[in-house]
Amino acid sequence: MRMATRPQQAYPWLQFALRFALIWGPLSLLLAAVVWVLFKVQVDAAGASIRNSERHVLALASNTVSTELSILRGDTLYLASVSSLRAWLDSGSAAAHAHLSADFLAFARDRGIYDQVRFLNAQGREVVRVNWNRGKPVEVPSKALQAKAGRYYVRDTLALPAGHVYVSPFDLNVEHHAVQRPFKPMIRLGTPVFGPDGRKRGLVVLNYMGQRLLDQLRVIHGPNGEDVWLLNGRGDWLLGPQPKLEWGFMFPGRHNARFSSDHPAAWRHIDSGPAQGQFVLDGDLYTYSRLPLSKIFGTDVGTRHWVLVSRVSHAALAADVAAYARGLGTVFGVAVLLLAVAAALIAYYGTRRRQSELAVRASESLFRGLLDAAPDAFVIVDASGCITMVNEQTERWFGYDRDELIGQSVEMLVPERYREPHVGYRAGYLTEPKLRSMGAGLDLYALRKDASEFPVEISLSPLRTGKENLVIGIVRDIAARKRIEEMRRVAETQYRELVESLPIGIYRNSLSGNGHFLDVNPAMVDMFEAKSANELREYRVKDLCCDVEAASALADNLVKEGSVRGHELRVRTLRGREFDVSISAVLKKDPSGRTYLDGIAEDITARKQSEAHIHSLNQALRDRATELEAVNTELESFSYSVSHDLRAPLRSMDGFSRILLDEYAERLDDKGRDRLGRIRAATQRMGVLIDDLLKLSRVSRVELHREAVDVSTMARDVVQELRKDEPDRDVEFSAQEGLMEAADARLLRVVLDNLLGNAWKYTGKTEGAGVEFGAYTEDGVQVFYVRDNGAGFDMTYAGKLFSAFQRLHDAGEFPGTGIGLATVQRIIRKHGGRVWAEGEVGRGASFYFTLQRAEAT
Amino acid sequence: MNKGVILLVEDNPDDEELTLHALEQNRIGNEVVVAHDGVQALDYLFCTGAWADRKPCDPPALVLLDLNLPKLDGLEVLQRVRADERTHLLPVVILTSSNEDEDRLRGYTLGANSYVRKPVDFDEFVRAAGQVGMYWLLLNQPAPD
Repeated sequence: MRMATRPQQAYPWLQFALRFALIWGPLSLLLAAVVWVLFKVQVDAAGASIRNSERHVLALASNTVSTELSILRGDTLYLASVSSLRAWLDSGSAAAHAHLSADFLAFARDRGIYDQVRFLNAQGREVVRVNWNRGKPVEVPSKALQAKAGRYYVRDTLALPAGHVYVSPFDLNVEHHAVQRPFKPMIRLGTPVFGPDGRKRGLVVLNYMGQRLLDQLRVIHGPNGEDVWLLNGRGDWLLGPQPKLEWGFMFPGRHNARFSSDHPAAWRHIDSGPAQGQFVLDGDLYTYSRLPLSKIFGTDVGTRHWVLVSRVSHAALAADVAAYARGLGTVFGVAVLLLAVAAALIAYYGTRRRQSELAVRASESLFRGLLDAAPDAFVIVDASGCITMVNEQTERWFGYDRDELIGQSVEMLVPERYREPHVGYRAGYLTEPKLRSMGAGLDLYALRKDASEFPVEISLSPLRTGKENLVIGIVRDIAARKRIEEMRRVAETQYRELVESLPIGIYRNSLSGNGHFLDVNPAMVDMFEAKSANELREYRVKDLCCDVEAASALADNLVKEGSVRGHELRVRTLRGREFDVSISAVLKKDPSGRTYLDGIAEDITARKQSEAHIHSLNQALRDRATELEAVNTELESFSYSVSHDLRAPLRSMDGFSRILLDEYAERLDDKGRDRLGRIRAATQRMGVLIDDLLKLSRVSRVELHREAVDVSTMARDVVQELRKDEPDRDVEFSAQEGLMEAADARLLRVVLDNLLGNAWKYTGKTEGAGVEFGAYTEDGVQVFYVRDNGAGFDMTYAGKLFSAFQRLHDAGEFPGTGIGLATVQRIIRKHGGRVWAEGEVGRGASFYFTLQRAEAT
Repeated sequence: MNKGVILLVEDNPDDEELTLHALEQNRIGNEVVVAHDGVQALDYLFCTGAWADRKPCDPPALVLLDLNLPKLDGLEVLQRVRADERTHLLPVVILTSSNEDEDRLRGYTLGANSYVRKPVDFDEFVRAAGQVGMYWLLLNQPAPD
């Protein structure tokens, strides 16, 4: 099937899946790439944004700290140069002291950020002191003023030149050797005060309540709410993620609670890196800023610095990325689904279109294949008579190529003489188009390209394609059919002639109904001595049978076996003459189911007569054979008697003669002894004669057993025995080698004994005696011969040679009984062969014999 | 030389006379008993009938058996001799005129020890009788009793 060669058509689902995958796969991959890039960009942007805001936060915190510290420095220097202080230093009066105290009080109140505002003289004794007490400044009475000369801040401050500010480490206030609780973070600031003479007169000391700075920093948060931490230069927590971490260095048991211990790696980065920086450690983003105090306070503070640190944890960062990923993932998922739907739609409609294209193509090629496979020529013609399509058979039959026919008028295929009417017929057909044959009953002819014509039969059929009305002309070449019809007609004629001329009766008769002859040939009419076939047809088969029972037996047999062969029947002619026929017939059925039989009837009267003759001959032969057998049996017992009873008296005659000669020799004279000798010789000859006769009769009686005999060897054996009996004889014997014959070995031996024995005997008086045995082939039969150069014989008497007791030589010359050759002839005849002799007196004899029946006879 | 009896079974008086003469010519001095038919032969051999009184009932040294005999023919006699335990090893030489193949075949089949044809020539006959006697009575060692 054509379908099988198109797998895409056989598996539309596979094709759909393939198309879907081809559309959807690459698009999905592209989308995934875009989303991935987008994701990366977003993540990067988010990271940058976080880093940026962290930097901003740090900058803000840094500014805050710088600003606060600048204020502190300014405040310190301001107090050192306040006029009331200058006045007091000049006068030292109580009024000046009061004025100074009032200024300090006012300052403390205005600022509200200092725990203590003090002036100490050069000896370290407090001169003025304002304490911040429960939210307002209070001047400490002079009797409560204390000497602080040994304190580190007094010493360090007094060591500074004018205009320089001392700043203490940021720590917790200690009262009476213990950290004051609640914690009071504190920075002490101091600056020396000089008199107009440039003498160092004392120092101003401010105790800044650090909590204010910490509170300002505490409200600064990053975009993710992360804190800003403040560390001192050693990495101690000043402001940390938890209060319990802070100020660890102030307590002996918590020295290790410091940033540099908690985050040693981060601390190393911060401590060794640039002043500002950002780094990622274990996924956490650290942003830091080192604040050297020298920037604000000058080099007097050395390299002391603070550090501001913010940290965005890995989890917070990852949460951002995850949020992006979720968002993009959702978008991607939806987009892929939409793509899938779109791809499925495209693939589905694509596959459908392809399927229907294939279907159209398949039906087209099916149509074309059908047309081309058709044994008839198909010519499809449009309404105007133009050929629109032809099949291969058309090309073959008409001798045109397809291209030569398409678009041409169909009349080019019509012989010239029919063209004009054909146009009219064609128009007429279109008015009433239906399936019919063209030119019914007429002989139609079609025209080939080579102008030859051929007989055709044409069927017409309308074909509506939706676009136009076409006509299909189906043209069949009926030349072959016409030829076959002609051949059949000729064959029928021949068969008819055969049946009419055969000298055997041929007939057909019905079995059903009354069994009349349906058809008979002339031989049948003659056989039954009818005047005509019609006369015979009036008879029924059984009317012609002499024996009604035999006729019905024949009918039964026919019905049972379906046919009979050589059934013999005695019938009579219409004129009443009886004769024998042999009937052979077969039973048949015509298309309507009626049985009839076809038969031949042969007049076998002559054959019957000769059969009867042969039968009687056979009987006679059998009788003769029986007689012969009886004679043979008789002969056998006769021979036996001869052998026994005929020899017994001979033995007596010889025996008693011999005894007479022995015992009564002296009473007999020479003559008497001679007579007795003659009796004995005759008796013994008689014995030999009887033996030979027995041999002859035995030859007749024994059955022939043919076998392969080596005749050459047998001949040599015979001669060897002859030599043994007469060793004095010098006879040259030659035998042809390798002569084989199918014969009875024992009988053949008797033949050779006789023939070679004769040759031996009759060369007895020949000088240089020679005996030769050989054979040649004549008429396909081997002819053996025994040739000698002995006494020979006169050909005149050759006919008597083989008769019993016939001798051609004097017994005195060559002894013998005359039975040997008769025996030979009998044996040869028994073999179906022939024996003959050639000879000349004194020049030897040749005896020839064959042991097979000659083919010619 | 075996001195036992020679049983000559021969109906023809001429042949009987000639055979005895031939034996005599060959100086075979054994006692020769002549049976003139098959029945007489069997009577002698088995000590029945006319020979019922034969004592001891020994088998002869040799049987010369003609085939053509009245009453029981020679082959039947041979058959009976071979069928009987007492005589089944007895040397039996068929001495006959017949040279029929069939007779020879049957004689040997029934267990004859030799088959000798009586020649017409008496000289030959004498030679044959001498050789038979020489062989069976002198050369041949009979089966043990």
